[in-house]
Amino acid sequence: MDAVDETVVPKILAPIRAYTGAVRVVDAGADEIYCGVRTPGMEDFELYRGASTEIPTYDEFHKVTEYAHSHGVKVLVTINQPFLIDSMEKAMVKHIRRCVEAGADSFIIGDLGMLQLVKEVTDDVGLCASTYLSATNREAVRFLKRAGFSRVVLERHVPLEQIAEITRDVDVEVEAFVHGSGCSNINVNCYFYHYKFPSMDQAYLGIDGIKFPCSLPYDVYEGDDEGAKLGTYPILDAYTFCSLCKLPALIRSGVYGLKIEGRGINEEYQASTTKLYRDALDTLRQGDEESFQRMLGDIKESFVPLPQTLPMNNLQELCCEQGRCYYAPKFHAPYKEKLAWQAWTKLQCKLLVVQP
Amino acid sequence: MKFTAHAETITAFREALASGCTGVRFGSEFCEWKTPSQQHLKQAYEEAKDAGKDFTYVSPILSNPGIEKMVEHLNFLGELGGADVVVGDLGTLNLLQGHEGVKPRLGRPRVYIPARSPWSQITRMPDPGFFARRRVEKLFYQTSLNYVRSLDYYRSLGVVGADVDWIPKCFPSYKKVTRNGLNLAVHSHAIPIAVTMRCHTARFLGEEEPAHCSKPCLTKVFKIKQKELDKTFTLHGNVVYRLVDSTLRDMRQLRRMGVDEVIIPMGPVSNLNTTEELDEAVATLSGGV
Repeated sequence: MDAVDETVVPKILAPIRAYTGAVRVVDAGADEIYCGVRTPGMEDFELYRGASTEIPTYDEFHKVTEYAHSHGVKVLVTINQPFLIDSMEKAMVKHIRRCVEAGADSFIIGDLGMLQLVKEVTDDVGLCASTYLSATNREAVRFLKRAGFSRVVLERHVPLEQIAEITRDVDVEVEAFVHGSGCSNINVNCYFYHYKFPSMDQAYLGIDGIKFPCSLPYDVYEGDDEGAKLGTYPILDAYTFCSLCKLPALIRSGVYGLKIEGRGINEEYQASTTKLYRDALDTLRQGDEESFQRMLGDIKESFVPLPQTLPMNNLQELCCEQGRCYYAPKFHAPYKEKLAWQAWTKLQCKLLVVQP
Repeated sequence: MKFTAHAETITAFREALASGCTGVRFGSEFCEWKTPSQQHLKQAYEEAKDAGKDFTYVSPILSNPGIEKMVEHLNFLGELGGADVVVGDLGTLNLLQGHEGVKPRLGRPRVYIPARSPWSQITRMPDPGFFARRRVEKLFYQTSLNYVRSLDYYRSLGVVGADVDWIPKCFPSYKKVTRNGLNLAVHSHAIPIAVTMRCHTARFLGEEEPAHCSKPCLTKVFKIKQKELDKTFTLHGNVVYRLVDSTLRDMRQLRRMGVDEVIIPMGPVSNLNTTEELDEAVATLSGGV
């Protein structure tokens, strides 16, 4: 493999939820960072991401942008409510203005009405289509480009070869998720709202934290007949987690950005995952795929997603053995390994405990 | 009130044609692998025309191969003389921009309604108090079409209508949408609460790959029950539904809100498969109107 042209090496987009986290991921090698900023007046209405995953004040956000910009790192702000209504508009206008004043480079937008609003309030920021807009094919990406977006985040379920087709066919920056929770369902078409409910936090396994209803085991009955129980399975669990092995193919796909999921996860995770992808990309940048493959073997054996009290010892057990690869075949069935799914469910709960 | 039957197969479609429903829908709402063949689409369109029924084509969220097939279907519908197309994907909406006579309606995947959620708890606050609860409720029971900029934008793209769900607490928010000139069609029987492209049924039944899926969901559903959450859902292919009952009181309210179309799904979720079963469902729903 020849050295990779600098212009086609994808950017690493790292998640943060605090200034201290921003410092850590920038130092770990993030090219861009993304975050939410708490919207005054909207704290009670949380659908997909709670206020605890957002930077709490505009002052702290300003510190983030100053630090990031001083290191040549762009800051994207998610204002991706999956919908907006008239009575929310006033609060959103204020929020957009405050974020721009504090140094936001781009907005990640999840609703077409919100896009019209942002375009009216400011013309000084980049516009990035959130995964909430479910771009799963080239025509959808063309639509979003025509609507005014300069960048599109693809839905997590788009296969690798189709990512390459999209980047080839549509002249727009394309981001793909590479690490962290790859949802079992299409993001904005899932109404399980697992971040929302304290009662759900306490419902299962006795672990304090956040649960995913799609990771839980369900009693499965055939048809309408509750008498015909087939068994108990985490039948909705299609989680994916990692795509390290696919990095060479992702580079070849022409994707602009590699997005690490995890605004709600602790800073150690955010920084260590960013560094993991930075090191891997830098190795590939030099054209040394052999070193990359060696590195990959070491990583799978040694990389422990934090915190270290997880029930799995390394990435190999966590992802590879369960087929939790972002670009695994669509009908893969990891849950058929009973022990694996139990451990996986516990892992999800542990990973997403929000630190005080 | 107009009753429209939605069928995913040509067999079910013919049952719908023979029923008392005023309109018929054909196609897959959520799974691109169940998109009908061009031959079946032609048959369905022509038979609906012969029967004097309003014909609507239904399309889901699509991958790249799926959008290729959609190009052919839309061209075909254009040549046949046009139809309404329920759009589940922004890509399909993009394709429709050049089509005369083929009018887009937003499908359920394109309309966001927080209250589709199966949980009754609507705020993270443990004890929100009266006013905070009211404030959150006001948002929770709205739809993404209740924002004037969204509505205007979709209308500028030629969108003539949209599909929504049978959630009585949301009915007042539908009124504002219909008043602003968008026709709404309300689905009876089931509310989709999770849709995936990594099909849960296919995975469970050991299907190997989407292109060769045996489509067990055309006849089979699973009831799934989570004990700790105390919830029961219906898994149908790549969609998790919660079932809803439709009352005559709801029907009257819908009419007052300016909604004039109810979609009745055929197939294993509603367990409506024959002309007789459809007619009975229509009679039950229309009893008070």
